[in-house]
Amino acid sequence: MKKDDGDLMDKTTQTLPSNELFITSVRLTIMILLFNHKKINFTELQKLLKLTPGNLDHHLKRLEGANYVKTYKKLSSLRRPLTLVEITPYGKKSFKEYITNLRDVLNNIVLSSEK
Amino acid sequence: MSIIEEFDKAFQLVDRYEEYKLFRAWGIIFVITGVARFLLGFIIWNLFYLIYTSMNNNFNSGALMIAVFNSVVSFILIFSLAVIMIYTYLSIRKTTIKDGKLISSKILYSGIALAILYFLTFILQIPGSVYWEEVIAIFICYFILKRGLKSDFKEILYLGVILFVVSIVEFIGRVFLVLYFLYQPLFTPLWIIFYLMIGFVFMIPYIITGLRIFRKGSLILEEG
Repeated sequence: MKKDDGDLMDKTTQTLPSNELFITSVRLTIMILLFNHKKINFTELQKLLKLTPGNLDHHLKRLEGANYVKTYKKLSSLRRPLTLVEITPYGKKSFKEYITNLRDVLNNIVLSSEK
Repeated sequence: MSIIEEFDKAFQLVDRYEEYKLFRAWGIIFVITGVARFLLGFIIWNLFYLIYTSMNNNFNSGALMIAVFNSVVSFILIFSLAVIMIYTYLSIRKTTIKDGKLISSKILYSGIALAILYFLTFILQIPGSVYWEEVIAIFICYFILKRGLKSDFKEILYLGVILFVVSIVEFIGRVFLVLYFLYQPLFTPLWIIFYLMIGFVFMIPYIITGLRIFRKGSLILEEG
């Protein structure tokens, strides 16, 4: 990596909008997936993120606490109980705002580096 | 770890999930295609034929009715599959950020192209065989998927090769049946047994391919 690129990356890291809940890749992944798919099976999420049920539950509880997601149980078409995680309208709006802010900051940094 | 790195890691996981969904959807589509094609395309088709000809004792009108019925069943089956494929691709997105929005990329267009292609290939049936167009559709599907996605769908290629071989067997069988027909007017039972076997042989590779692709999807999710 060139020195300029490194400086730009440091600058980016310092100025990016920080949302405490999205600072880990686990919660970021959950939010991006839910943003795209609206709801996801708990077990699939657990396998994808390679987490224990308790660990995933901890992350989900934090997102639930902020009213970003909700979890509920449902019977599948094969009559098996499923736990589903769904994004709330507030969660969707908040995540969209976060992404928009992120884009603005990145754009500003790129513009300032070009000057 | 910086936010950028966290995002990078998150997108890798998101991509893997999309890949998993894609493989599972394809697996299900192939299993359904195999079973439905056999049940609708063969059993109902021939039951209808037997009932109709036994009631009317008229081969020509029976054959016409079968042709119409077969076209209607094929149309419904393939149209349904095309809808499933479009739906699958509409729900699977390659995640990228552009203008502050998470947007879908060309994976969507590959899906729609595939669905239209699959639909047209089945509808515009090539005269002389009912299976050749299916083989062609499978091969074209494989090449479109290979170009549009990073995922490896080798099972679809193998399916095309197996169906190609079965189609040749079917073609040879037809020739023998025509020869048999020339000397034996009551060829119907043999004809039905032959098509039952071909239909069954055609169904098996579809189901195996579907299950293999489905399983591959699960492995992608678990192993990464």
